[in-house]
Amino acid sequence: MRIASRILAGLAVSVLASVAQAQQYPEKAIRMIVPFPPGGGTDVVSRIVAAKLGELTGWTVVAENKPGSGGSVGLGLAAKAKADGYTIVMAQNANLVINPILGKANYDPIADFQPIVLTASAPQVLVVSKTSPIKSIKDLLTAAKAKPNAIKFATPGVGTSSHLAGELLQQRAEVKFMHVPYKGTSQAIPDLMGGRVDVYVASVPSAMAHIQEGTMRPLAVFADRRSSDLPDVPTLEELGIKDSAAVTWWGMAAPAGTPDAIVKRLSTEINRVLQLPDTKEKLKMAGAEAIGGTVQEFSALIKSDVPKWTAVIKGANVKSDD
Amino acid sequence: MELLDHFALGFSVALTFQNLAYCVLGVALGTLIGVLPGVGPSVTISMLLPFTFGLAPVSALIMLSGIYYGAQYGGSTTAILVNLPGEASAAITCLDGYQMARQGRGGKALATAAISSFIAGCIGTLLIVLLGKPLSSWAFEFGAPDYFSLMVMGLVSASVLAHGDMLKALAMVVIGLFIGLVGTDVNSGFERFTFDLPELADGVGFTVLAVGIFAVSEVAINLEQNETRSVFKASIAGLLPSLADLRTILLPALRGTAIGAFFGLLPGTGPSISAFSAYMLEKKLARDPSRFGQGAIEGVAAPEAANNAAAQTQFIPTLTLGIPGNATMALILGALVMNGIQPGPTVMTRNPEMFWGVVASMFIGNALLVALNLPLVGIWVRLLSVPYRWLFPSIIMFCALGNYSVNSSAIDVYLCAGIGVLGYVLAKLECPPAPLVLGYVLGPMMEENLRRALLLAQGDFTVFFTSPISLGFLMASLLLLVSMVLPTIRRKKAQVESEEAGAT
Amino acid sequence: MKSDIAKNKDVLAGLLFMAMGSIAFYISLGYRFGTTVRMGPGYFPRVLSLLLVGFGITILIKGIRKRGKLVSQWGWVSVGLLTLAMVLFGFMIEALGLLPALATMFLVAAYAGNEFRLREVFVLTVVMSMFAVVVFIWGLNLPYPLFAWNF
Repeated sequence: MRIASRILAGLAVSVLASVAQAQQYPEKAIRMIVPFPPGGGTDVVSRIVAAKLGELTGWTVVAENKPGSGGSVGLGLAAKAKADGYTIVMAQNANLVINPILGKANYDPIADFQPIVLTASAPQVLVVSKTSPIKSIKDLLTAAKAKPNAIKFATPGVGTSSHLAGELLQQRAEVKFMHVPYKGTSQAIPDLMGGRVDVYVASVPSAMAHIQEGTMRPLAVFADRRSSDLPDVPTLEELGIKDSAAVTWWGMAAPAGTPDAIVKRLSTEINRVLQLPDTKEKLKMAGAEAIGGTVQEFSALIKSDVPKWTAVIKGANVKSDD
Repeated sequence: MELLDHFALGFSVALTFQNLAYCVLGVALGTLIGVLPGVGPSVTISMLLPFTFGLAPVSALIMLSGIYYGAQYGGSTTAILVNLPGEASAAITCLDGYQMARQGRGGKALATAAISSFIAGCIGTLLIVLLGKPLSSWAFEFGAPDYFSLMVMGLVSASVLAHGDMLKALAMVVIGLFIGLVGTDVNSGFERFTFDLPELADGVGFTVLAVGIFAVSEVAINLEQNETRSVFKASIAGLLPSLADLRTILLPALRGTAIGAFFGLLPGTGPSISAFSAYMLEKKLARDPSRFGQGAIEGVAAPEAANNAAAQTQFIPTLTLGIPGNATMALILGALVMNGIQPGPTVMTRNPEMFWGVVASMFIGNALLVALNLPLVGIWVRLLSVPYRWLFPSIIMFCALGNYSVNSSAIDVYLCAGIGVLGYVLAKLECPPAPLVLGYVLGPMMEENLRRALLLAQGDFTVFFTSPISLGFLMASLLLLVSMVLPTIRRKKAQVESEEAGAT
Repeated sequence: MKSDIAKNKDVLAGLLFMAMGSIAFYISLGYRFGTTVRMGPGYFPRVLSLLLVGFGITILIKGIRKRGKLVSQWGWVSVGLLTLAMVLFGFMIEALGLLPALATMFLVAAYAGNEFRLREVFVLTVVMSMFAVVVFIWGLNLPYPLFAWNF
């Protein structure tokens, strides 16, 4: 009797709980997985959003760094987490879309994740040293056409957004550079300045200081429209290179199967956060632009990015063991 | 006197009540996280970053930089006390610092570390002031061949790390190089020795390796000796270094400072490599190198000075070029940018209050750190009188929890345990751990730069000789080799001659 | 005589290095070697593993010829318990939370010692767990649950 009533009570509670789920959500701390180590761009963007989301809603949002393998570790954990709305992840195009194409991840960008909202994006810019004889994209392409594999193209690593943007440019303009991968930016930038490599693709904020000082010359941005930080720098599109946008984006996602009501709730609240002038300001200082939008819009972006980058990566044979 | 004006401005900023308070908070927090293994400045700074949004940029930077250089002070504490490096850069301090503690000279070792750190911190800061601008552009001169040759020199000098058997030391270097290779190959994006574990794609963490090979294996060795209560001799030799001790450590600390200042300027290298190099130099210069590894006070002074000097001069490329040398510097750079300050060559003229305020706070912070750490020595040493059966499970706790906190990854804890077993076996077979750690530190940079140098030169090996910097390092390596081989030959010859003489 | 060789430090070290070198060589056969000009990911590992095998052989020969120092008794039990303590901690902190992980770890690790006094271990566990919670969870704000149930 006692046991039966307990079971009944338990059932009642659980039924009520599922009804009240969306209203009562969240009952405990929400874990926001940050798939990069503390201090990187993703970490900063995540912490800004987590802090503001907590402030605005009174929820406890805990950012937890789970770095490794270019973000694949953190996203892999998120994909396998319980789809109860208490685990969300700050994904980036490089780890959500590109790592699976490179075979560096054991999840599927579409089947394993429930998109929530496109949080922010940052344009990338192609730069040369101030002493470089290359003055424009035209110079660059002429030189590359005259002598294939002679332009030394530095990137912060194989398969990074910067590398893929460069591959995209090479494919669209039908030229070939010599790829010189680095481990992050700390040695790549001195080599660019010292004239040991010719071009570099950087995120706008990481190059901003050098552009302002005049030590780096920006040639073009990989975006649909000009960057508000660099209004004088043309886009590759303007220079006649079609379909050459390669922005870095960050978006919030949850494991597939997270209840719709919770996804909607999260999407609404994060959109509110992204509209705050303070959030916009902070993100801008971190080099990103607050975006926002619906669940469907973010979902559509992922679905269009997958075939685009698959084609680029297959075409460039990016992950050669060469 | 323009410089005096700058200092006046800087101290007027740094000595406001608010900034002083943030400086105290920063260095105290830095010392704490330095003592804790695993938890390092980069984790702490990123946790605090959102809180700094509300602060004035200069206050934020004063606090964050205090955490960074404060951690270098704290890192040596557990290294000396229980062979557990609190920060990666303190790994080499284990060698002689821990031996000193076992001999009852733990207090002296801790005080030596604090004093050397102070000397280096102040000189390092002075270098930022005097040479910040001219030195910073020097990093541009360093190309891949130069880095490679620098690493070669490091490996050649590694042999001095050996106690006794040179062959074993060299084999340990190679094992270290292998552990360094684990992870994604920079040039191809190909994963090596990762056994399909995504957690290994970024390689084996330094904390995992250093804690496993030093701390875990040391506990295992101590436990089997059945006389665990006498792991440490009672402290008899006095807490503070004598005047004679101070005289002994002065030169090593200054040499360590010079080495640290140099490596701090180069992107990619930093406190760890500096500490190793300083230690190797001292052992090379010592009249009796066999004292090293047995509790030589110079073996604590030089590396501790080097890692602090590097921690200070790393601010030079970060502030004046916007090129962060490591992850923590990238964070500080990010904090600057988010506070609306664009780092670069003109940062001194555009944001003089910020620049000079932070520099002045570094002098104050270093003074505070010494004032904080010297009285702590007495308390830390008392820790050694705790029975070992209470101490060792707590050491294991710090190993496990500390490693877990770096990446919130259980794999790191498993790996650390595994490396602990390897370290135990190697220690039983009398294979020295320091060359292994050095190989691990230098290996990846060496391969990366070798391959990049050849890629950029299109396979032309002469690049290593045509670059004057690279040539200089290679010549120095050759000299080192000759100086090591010659005495052995001479000894052999003398031996043969005496045998011949004996035969006749 | 034979057992002496099996306990010789140099012989064992030589064998260990040879084994590690061989395994590493075998694994790196799967990585492209490349040429000296364009080195593949397998170039460095293969050269290094041969070097390690070479060192191993030299040390082994030296050990057999010189009859050097013998290794003292192995303490596998305490090493095993320490390893087990850390592994259990890593597993349990994710499955059950920080406090159960710490308690288990202390119990197992303390058992590796020469004297095991249950009451002392209990007190030690409580004191150090409190310390860990205060410093890591409250002080440094690390996001680990004290108790959890993740299966």
